[in-house]
Amino acid sequence: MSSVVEYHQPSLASTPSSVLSIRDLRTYFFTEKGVVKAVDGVSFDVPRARTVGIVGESGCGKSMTGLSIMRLVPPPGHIVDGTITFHDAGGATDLTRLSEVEMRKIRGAKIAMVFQEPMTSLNPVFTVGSQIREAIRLHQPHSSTREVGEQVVKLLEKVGVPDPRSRQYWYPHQLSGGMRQRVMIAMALSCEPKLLIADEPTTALDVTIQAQILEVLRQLQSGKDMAVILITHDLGIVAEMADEVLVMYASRVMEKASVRTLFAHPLHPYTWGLFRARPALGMKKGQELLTIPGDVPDAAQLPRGCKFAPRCKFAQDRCREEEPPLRILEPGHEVRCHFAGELDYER
Amino acid sequence: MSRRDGYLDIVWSQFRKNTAAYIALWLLVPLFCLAIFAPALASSVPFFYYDGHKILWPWFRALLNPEETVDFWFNMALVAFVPWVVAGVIADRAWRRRGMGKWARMSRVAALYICLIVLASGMMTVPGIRPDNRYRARTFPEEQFRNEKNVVAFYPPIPFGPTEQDIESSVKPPMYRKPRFVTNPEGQEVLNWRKSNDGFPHILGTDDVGRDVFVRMLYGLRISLTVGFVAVGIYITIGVVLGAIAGYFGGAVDIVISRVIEVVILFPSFFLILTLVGLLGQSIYIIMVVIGVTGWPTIARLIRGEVLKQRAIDYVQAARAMGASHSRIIFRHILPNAISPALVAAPFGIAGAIITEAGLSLLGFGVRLPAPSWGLILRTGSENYHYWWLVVFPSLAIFVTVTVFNLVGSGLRDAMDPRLRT
Amino acid sequence: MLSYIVRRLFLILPTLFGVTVVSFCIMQLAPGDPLLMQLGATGLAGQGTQTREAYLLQKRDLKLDRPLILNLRYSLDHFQAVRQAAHFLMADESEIARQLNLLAKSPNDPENRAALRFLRGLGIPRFRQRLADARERPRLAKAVAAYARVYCEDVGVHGVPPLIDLLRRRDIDPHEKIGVIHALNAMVVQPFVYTYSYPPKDADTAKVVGAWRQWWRRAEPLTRRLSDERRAELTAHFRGMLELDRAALFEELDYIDPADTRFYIETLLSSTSLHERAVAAMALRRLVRNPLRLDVPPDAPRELIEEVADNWLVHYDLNRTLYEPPLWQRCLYCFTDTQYAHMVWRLVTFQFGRSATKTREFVATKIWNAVLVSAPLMLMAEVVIYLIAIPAGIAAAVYRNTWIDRWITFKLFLLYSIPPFVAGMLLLLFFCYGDYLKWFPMLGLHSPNADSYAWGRYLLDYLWHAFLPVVCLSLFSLAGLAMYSRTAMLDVVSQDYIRTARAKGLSESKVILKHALRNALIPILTLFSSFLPALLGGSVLVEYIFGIHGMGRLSWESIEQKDYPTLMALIYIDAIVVLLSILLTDILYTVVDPRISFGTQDGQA
Repeated sequence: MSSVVEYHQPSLASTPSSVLSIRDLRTYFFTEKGVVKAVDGVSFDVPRARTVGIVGESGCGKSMTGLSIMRLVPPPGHIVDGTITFHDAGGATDLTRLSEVEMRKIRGAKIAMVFQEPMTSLNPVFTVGSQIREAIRLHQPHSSTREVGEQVVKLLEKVGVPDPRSRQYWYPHQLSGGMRQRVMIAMALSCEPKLLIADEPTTALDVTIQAQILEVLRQLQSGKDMAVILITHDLGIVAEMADEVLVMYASRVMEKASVRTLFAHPLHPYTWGLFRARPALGMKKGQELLTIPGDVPDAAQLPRGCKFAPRCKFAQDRCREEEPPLRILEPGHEVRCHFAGELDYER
Repeated sequence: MSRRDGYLDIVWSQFRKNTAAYIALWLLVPLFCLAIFAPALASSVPFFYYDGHKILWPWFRALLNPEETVDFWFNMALVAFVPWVVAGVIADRAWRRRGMGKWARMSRVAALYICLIVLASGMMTVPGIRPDNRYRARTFPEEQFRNEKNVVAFYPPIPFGPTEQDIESSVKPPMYRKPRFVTNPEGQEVLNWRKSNDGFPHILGTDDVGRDVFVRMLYGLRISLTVGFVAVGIYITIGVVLGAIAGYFGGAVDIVISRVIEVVILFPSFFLILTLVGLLGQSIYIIMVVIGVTGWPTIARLIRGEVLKQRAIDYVQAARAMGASHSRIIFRHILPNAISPALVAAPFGIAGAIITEAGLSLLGFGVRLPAPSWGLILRTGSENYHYWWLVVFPSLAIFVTVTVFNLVGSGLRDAMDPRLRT
Repeated sequence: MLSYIVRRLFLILPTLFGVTVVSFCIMQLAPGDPLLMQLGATGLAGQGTQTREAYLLQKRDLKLDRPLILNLRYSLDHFQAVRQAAHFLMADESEIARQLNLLAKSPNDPENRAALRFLRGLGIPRFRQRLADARERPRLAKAVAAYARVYCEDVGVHGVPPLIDLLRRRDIDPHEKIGVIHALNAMVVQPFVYTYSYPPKDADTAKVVGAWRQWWRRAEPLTRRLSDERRAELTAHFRGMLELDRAALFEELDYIDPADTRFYIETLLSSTSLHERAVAAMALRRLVRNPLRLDVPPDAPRELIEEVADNWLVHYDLNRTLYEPPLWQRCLYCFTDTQYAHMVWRLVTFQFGRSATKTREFVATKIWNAVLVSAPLMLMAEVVIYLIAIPAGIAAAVYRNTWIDRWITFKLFLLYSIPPFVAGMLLLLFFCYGDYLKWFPMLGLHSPNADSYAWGRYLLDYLWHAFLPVVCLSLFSLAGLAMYSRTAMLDVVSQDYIRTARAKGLSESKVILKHALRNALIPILTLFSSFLPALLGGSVLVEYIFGIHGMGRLSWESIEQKDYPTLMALIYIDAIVVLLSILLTDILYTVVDPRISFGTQDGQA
């Protein structure tokens, strides 16, 4: 790779202004069929009080990235390499090196997570109030019962649950999907974390409810020193919520840029394909939606060269032979493509 | 057809991954071979007998005139075995050349065997074809052997029959060898053997009237396997048919069948079986039928649930729209997809039926003496625990057989579990 | 909640109906007559009036003489049949044999046809062939006599009105009347009521007084008259007797004088007080052993026959409502006076009666004693099972695919393949019989002299005896329950809310013990429905092997001794207990799982 001198390698040093820096994260699953690389060499930073969106098709490793940060990768998966550096008042800590007990103090308290399925993510046999209360108690063991109770009501009120005083005694199945997601968010925010990982928080919900939930998230973020990692497959949500965007494909970051840059001129053919595949307002009736041909490749049998090459209409022999590195094309815009910037999409 | 083959292939490949279950499945082969070839291994009559004047073939005649009806079927299986192997190999080759699938060939070869058994038993019931057994006496040539010196007889490796008594060697420990000569009160050495090779050791000892335990266990295997397979066959048939009808038609039919299922499930099964066997009489056939009649509700319930699920899927609607009859929809379209719970239940059911039969015999409600049954050997053992071999060996036999079937069952369950397949 | 329970109970009704049907079928499956079997071969031949009487009473008691499910006997004409029966009852065997010869010779004779129809209806095995075979006929004659008697017994009250009509006729010859009287004796057990039941009821008065009046009609001329002094003396004495309690009265009755019979019968007939009449009737019963003749020898003189016939007519008049019930009652009896209806009534009201064994114990007592033996044993076993199986299953699920899981699953699998009775016999062999180890006693639950022990030692002795049975009872179900809880736990552990709990920062133990366990217990709870039945049911085989006289042993014995009342009661109680525990489990389910409310749980049961 020495011939491509002009390519700038992304810096591996973490920036102090970021709350989380991930460097070369690798999470592999050791199954009977072989090693499945769910996350393969992902690096990015989450700036303080900003929102980073991770976009990609299902199975591209974006959820696993979130779970790796929480160190909740289900067996037989393991984080095999890389660092996840978390910065807070006490300094920097590498989450991958923490013991389980130390990690538990960070989960929920400093990094919280909201999951995709509000229907199944709440324990059906406990009331929603008691589940939030449990989270608060865990990280604030000294507060009294009454204080905790007040806090629960306040939290529910904040996320927009009507009549929180009586709703806290309801069971999850008695609530609608949107309400349950609000409860999940309330639970995640109960200890005022520095970082919230929202894993497809609105996918399972109606469109109108989606907007409400996103609004709740946005309000809660504003005025607080909380960064958010928003994992989604919906570019619309990213455009609305995120400051920075990562596009992931086949366990790798394909393109990384600020929202504005990415939406203005995407450089990776995959990103471009994603944009083209969205129905847009003003499209004529009968006009074809352009899809990306083919499927996401099986993570156990990836092609040799560029992972996107089989589906890429600009692919050349070099793409099939040699995997492109992630290179910085402009400040703050990184792309994993041999021909980034040289392609003519409108051809 | 190819879709179903594909399904079986998936199940098979899943099954093979489970080593224990795979071994257990192959263990069924020797188990069945032991049951089928029991007379060739152990019998009280010689294959060949020459008394100086005439050659006799008592073994072959005894094969066709067994004491128990269960033995008759297995003997027919033994008679049909060689033609089956020959015909099976030839037919398999021919079908393979025609490009028939693996499973279709296997099921046809198995069906061929059953046809041959039925054919043989049909032939043997025709008077005139079956040779009359003139040697029904349990100790076939005993007098001749004592009296004549020039008798030649070739016995199976173990020269004892399952019901052959020998009071002189009662409750002898394993590997007991009957002495050839004993001293009588007058101080003379007299011949003690009744048959030319009576000196063969009783491998697992003898019971209270001198029957060889190993041979009885060998023939008991036949009874256990028959009870297991027939009883489970009965209840799976009833259960699948009733469950499918209840699930498919729904409404009043469903309500009635469900109530009946509920009612039969309410009665504790072993007690119900015991009661019915106690009232109807003790015979191996009644035991099989009673286990079959009391066992079906669980299967019917499983199948009903599965059919209800399948009925809601579009392909049933499509079949109905094409004008398929109810029975066709049930048996061709729904059941092949809904039957897996019944198949999974079958090996466990067989194990359960074997346990039930042994338990009934132990209580004295099972097959009657002198028929060989593991439970009956245990019953003899329970009368005096000093004869440990009467307890340990049948227990071991029950345990091994039940384990084999349970292993196959759990392997099948794991292989058929849709949650494990993606 | 209440309405839910009520609705569930309502749903039980059809099931209960099914349970009774199954029980009834089992009862009918029994080959032969259970009571006869128990009484031995003498029963059918009719020898030994004592056993015969006891047999009949028991048969009527259990209503086994009734039709199975539909009683149309009140609307049938029994005249021809009972006349034939009376005829065959009177005749001795040689006469019957002669008649059989006639029947075989000319079956189409109109007189013979009626007789043949009757004989065919008796259900004698292989009747036609035996009739055709001349050598068989003497034996057949014997059977005919016996079966005619059984026929009369079975027809019971329905045969009485036509026979009484026959008795009333003048044109009938005395010989036939003897047959009729025999038949009546077979049909009616204990026709006359001579004393009041205890406590006395006014309803009995007509029958008691009627019986004694009939006796008095014949006995009055033969009875000594009483002087006035004696009468006064007796009145005073009778006053005194009225004050006595039952036991003392019985004692006093032993000393009354047969010469004073007239006083007591006059008191009975004239008195208006129920109590006085009752005492008088008791006194009379002491004095007159056989008040009314109801049976005649085959060669009786005409007067005797007339006397007995007269007695029967009086009996009929006194009990007219019994023999000729009003129309609505007849319609009702169609359905209620059947074997099935009576059985259902006995089962529903839990009247199991006495057992059919020699001891004639009450079934309820028998069962209760057995439950007291097996329930503590089963309770210990269940506690052991739950205490070991659930933690083992959970541990296996939590440490899935590790060596812990493999080890536990393997052990469970082995246990699952050992039937309890095999385990029991092996344990007995190795730990009890002394050839290897002699750690535990061989049979029973107590040492022979355990009753003299202090309670602490008694308890220890009990535990020592109970140890091996409990181990055996636990092994098999333990494996099943543990495997079940492993699957249940595996299902739960992979749920999203467990991940949520972890994401909160909960410790692993808290995640498992609080969040996962609570959810995994819900499916495990369904197995709870087998808890109570197992507790009461005992285990036949284990109790057999260890010589414990609990429920399992009781069921085994009652099957072996053909003790049908006990057997029915056991089957029925087992079914009811299962039914109730399923109901209980459903209710528990709604309590534990907030997702299931009382309203929406219909089809799942």
